[in-house]
Amino acid sequence: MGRLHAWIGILVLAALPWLGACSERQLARIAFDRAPPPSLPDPLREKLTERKPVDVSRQWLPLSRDGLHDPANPWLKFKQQPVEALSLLPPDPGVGNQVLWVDAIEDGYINPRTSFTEQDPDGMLVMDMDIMRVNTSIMPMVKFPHRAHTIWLDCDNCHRNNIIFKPQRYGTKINMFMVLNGEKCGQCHGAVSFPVTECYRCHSVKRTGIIR
Amino acid sequence: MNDAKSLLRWGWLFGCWFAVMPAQAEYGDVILNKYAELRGMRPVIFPHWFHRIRFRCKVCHNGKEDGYGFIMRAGSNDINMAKIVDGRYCGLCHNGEIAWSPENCDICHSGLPGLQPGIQRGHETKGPAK
Repeated sequence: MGRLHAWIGILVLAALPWLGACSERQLARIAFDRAPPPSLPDPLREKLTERKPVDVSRQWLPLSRDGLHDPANPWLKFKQQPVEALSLLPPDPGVGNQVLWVDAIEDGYINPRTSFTEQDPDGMLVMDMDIMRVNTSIMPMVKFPHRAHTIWLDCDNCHRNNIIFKPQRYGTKINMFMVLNGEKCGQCHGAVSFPVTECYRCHSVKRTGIIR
Repeated sequence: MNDAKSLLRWGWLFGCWFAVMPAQAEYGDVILNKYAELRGMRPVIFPHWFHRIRFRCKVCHNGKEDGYGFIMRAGSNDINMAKIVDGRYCGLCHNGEIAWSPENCDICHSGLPGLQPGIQRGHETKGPAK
């Protein structure tokens, strides 16, 4: 009898850490959806999980060492680390998030929602039209691709009340002082989209002759 | 043998470099601390990278007034918990239906004390945050 009780005791003790782990797993599930975004088509999801999670050419600091998050925060371990998600996306080493965000959508790595609740097929009004800005002084001309911008943004984001860009030829004055001050292109570029250190990504078209 | 050695050497170099990498926020992280610390909470850290994998920009930056969308300028949005619980700003999603509800304070209020509000790692930006 005594021996049986001892065995039961040992079993219960052995099960304790496992029970603890269970509740932790539960917590993690509540806290964050760690999987790739739910809107991803299934073959792509498989492709993503097959990939190696760490890319040697790119590095992201863990959240506990980013100088913002408090390492003592008990929720920190449930948060998604940048390396978990960003290392699976098209690389852009050393620039911004080190991810080519436009390519990530265009090549089907991610399919972010176009509305709060669900994927809305007509949610984005993608416009495939390039705008050349030719008055760029000694720099190559700027080719502005509407397509790359409209897969993320709505027309209204930039053209609303003509505040950022007036949708009219020669309607908007832009210079690099404005951009560096966070106006015009600088409202996003240098904040969330690729930074203005990448001069030639915008100034991409060499002047080959005289352009009217 | 030589391969293994060079691999080890590179591994060491790599490890050392990683160990001395200076603390650096992820590009586009926004610190919200207009009210948080005044009212006894830690600053909020909003990771743009996390959210843009799941939502396109226009979902939150939808041009709507009165807290049903975000103005694209750090510091321009007057966010407080009353509005969030009311279903505005972060509360548009963080309502327990689309994303976890705001009762889990420390998930968002996770910053080190004394952080200045603003967007991280961009160049100088104008606007109310500056």
